[in-house]
Amino acid sequence: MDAQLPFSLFWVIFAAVAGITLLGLGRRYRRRLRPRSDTVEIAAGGDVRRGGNVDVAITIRDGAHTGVRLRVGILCLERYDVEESTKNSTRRVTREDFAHEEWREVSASEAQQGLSFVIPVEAPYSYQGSCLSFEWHAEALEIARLRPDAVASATFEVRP
Amino acid sequence: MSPAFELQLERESFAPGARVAGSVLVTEGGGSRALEVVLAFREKSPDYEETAVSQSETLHTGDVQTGQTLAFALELPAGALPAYRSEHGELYWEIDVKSDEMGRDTHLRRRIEVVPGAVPEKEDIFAGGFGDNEG
Repeated sequence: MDAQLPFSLFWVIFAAVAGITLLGLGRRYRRRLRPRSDTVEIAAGGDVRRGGNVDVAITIRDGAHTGVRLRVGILCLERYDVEESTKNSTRRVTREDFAHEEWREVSASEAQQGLSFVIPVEAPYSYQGSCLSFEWHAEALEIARLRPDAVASATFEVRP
Repeated sequence: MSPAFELQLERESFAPGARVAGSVLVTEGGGSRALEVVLAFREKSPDYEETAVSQSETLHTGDVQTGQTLAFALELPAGALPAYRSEHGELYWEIDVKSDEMGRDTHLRRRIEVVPGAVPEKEDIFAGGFGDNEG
């Protein structure tokens, strides 16, 4: 019994560490792991400035799908370079975070829909730099229960 | 001995395309190979710093004397972007007065504000630099 306890404890700790690692990786790469939607198309654009609106158009390819749940939003992806050190080396890696995001649940009962989102005055403008970037996307997520949410994405420019 | 400087600007806030003019006052003379003023748009992430846009003007070569005043005028690009600070980084315009010296250079840096959409005033539209105005 005494000999078995440390062995069980090892597996509990191993499972916890593996779970936390997988959860972290899943969160970090969740955007990249999403499949592309075959059902939804999205477009965004116009002369978009901070403090103004961006118009987002959604088209559901095979007509309305009453059973499909959609989440539509805009997001600004911030990419920034950091120095990552391991025991033997140092390397430059690019990390991602959301500088802004706004989502709305919409019904897929209409094949074509238009939405308007406000770009806050204090939000970043589009910028592609060497160690810092801001990229704006409009995205539609097909909410699914037993598979990853499929995504349709379109980039748009936000001027200062 | 390293010289010391004071940066005097006509204003702190500028429209894209405007002239950034001012002068560098030498508050303590000393050894310098060259004195340069740089107008730069910089990017900053937690561990890195990059210069996206820059232009410079050499104000003086050789040692500088206390009390010397060196005027400069540089032009912001017409599409100059405003400053922005996020959770992980920063974009900003800066004036860097750099004295090239044996060993470590002396820098005097000051950030300036660029206001998007503002129109440069008539006198701020660049029409060539100032000449040396050493006092």
